[in-house]
Amino acid sequence: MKEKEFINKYGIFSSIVVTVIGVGVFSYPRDLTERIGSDGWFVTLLGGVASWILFYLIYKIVKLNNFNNFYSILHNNLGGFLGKICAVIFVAFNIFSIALGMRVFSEVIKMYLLLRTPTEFILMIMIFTGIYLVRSGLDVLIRFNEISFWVMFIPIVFVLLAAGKGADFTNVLPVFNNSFPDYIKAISTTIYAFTGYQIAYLLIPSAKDKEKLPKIIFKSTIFISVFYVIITIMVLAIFGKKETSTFLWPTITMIKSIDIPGTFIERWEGIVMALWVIFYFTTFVNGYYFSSDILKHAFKLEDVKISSFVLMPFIYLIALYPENVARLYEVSISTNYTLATFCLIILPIILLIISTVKLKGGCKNEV
Amino acid sequence: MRFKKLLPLILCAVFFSGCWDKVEIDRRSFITSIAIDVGKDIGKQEELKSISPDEPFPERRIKKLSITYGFPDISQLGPGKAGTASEKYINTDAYSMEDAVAQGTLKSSRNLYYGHGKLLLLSSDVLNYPDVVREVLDYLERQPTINKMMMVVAVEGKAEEYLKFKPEMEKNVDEYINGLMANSSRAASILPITLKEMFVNLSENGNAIVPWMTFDKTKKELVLSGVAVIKGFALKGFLNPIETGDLEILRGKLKNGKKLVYKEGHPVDFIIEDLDRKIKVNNKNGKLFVNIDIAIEGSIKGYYYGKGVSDTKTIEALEKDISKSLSVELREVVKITQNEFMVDPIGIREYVEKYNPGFWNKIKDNWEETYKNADVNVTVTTHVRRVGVAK
Repeated sequence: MKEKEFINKYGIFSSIVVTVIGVGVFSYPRDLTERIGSDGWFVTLLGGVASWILFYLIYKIVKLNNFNNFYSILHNNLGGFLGKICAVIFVAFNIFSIALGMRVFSEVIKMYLLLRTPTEFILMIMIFTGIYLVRSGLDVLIRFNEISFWVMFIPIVFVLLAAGKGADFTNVLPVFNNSFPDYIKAISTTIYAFTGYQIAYLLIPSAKDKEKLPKIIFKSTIFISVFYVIITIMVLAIFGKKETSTFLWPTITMIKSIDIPGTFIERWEGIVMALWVIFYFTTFVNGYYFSSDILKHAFKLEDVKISSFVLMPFIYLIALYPENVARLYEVSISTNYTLATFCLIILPIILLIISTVKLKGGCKNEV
Repeated sequence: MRFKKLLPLILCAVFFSGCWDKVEIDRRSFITSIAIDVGKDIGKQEELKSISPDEPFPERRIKKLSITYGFPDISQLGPGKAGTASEKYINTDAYSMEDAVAQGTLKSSRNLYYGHGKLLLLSSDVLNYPDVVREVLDYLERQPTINKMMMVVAVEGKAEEYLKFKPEMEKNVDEYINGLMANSSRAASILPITLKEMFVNLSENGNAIVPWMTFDKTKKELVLSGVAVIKGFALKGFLNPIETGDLEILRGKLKNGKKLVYKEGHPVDFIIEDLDRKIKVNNKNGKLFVNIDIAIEGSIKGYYYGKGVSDTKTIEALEKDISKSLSVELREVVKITQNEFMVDPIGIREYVEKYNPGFWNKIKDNWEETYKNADVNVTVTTHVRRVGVAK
């Protein structure tokens, strides 16, 4: 079944970027610095390359399958039953990552902005706002992404420029001072930080100029990598590697410790937190829409309005499940890593092999 | 029909809006300065170790700390009134920083709010108890609301007295000290350290330098007397203002400083306006060789009426004298840090770690010893650029 083709190049680029960059930015410099010290920026680039390969794989698969939607690809390649199971696993992966991300987000908000507001309330408001957007359909969502992209990145450029004062960029030295296995382990952290690009399964079938897609994929991966590199370097330059690894969310602490001479704004967090809301919200809504879309196709529901309601309680419950912040990171590492390895690495490879074999077989039959 | 559409909206507005975090601004007291002193029970540190973690009622009143909060008297602020207000104080005896907040709340009609902190005064008595220092620091690092850019100053004796001191120039002491720190671009012996910078230094190996302030009882004024050297979270020693200025030169951070040489019995002041520092590190059999090359430039401020300085010969001779005098002086300061403190505030440690990681990996467990035995050589080149408007 063919999708309507209406998403332009910029729509795809901005959707991918805003989906991938979410709450992970808060803790990403810490994860990386703990593992690899001052080599974080370099590992981010390597991870970017690895993610680009996986990303390109998605494009390949969708192309081989005639730009079908994701569930049809699963259905055609794996059959009805296996396809459904894979679809459910995929939805679970998406839901887990957005729900746990939501919990991280609400914890951060609770720390810095709304100290006494119950977590449940923050979650509910977030989900309701999300559902409102999801129910309006894909075209509205893409528009939203297009606008948010600028709302997110123009202010962050200024924030980072202001952060440059007092930064000591020699902190990124020494480089290449770790053992090879350490690099491999650290790259896996980076690849998980790129989680979210699976949204391409949703976007590619509806894209307008399909021959330009590889270029857009490349551009968006570059953008995301460079953004992560800048954040990592900034945090390192300001705190040094020891101090960076002591903070739960070094990126936020960094922004908190910006001191503008003349102090026309003394306390930044209010502004920056408002920004992070959009950072997380775009990740959430896109992931949510994508899951609802898979679910709709897999179980032949009428439209996303229904499937999004089906998913709502799961998001809420998963987000509430971890007891505390330590548990939260434990849970997200264990579940996300296993699910992500399956959904982002194993499944695409299987799909690629099957589709290639099928295509060749198909050609022979025709002859 | 229209009402039916509006009803959910109204209900949303009624039920989904609410504010758990509402605090009226006049119900808050904005703490601008915190002074940390030891409490009367500080000697019972050892006793505390015998308390088992699961003991009931552990809050038996052991007053390890005495914290004083300073906050501006908001009623003095307002349109048409002065820009700064004099301060009010709350003093609490507590076993921890959080307990101090709790005790403070009992004494205050308002919410204590940390977000606008400007100044942290650490008493020298507290700095003698590294365990207490670590407890305090952990609290300061963990609290999201604490302003990490506040200035840190170590003071001799009771920090509370410094906080309550009324300076001549300003209405309160935190304005005064912050203004003093901002003068670092005009005076070499001021080395301002923010809480964030202190954390960064301490997290590496528990060492840091903090401005050191004393109280002159006869003249009744605060004196900034160099820096205190903290080693392993405890006070280790001091550098006097001149040594502090030299340290600033060694760190390559000096913005404006002064060097004095005597020529024919008359003082010649040389103002350092710019500075370039280069470090070179070598190692032989585990021994560290450090070469610090410093190039300074600036102007002559005063000499002797009737005697000109603006001929090449005199200037060259002056440059030579300044270079030599300063080189020896700086080497002395390095020796002090090597032998007395075994702490490296210059940044050689970071330099080795960043630019010579192979060697660093070999010596990192034995850094103190390596630094103590290191051969540090300082060379200064001086350039006199200006001599004022007289010949």
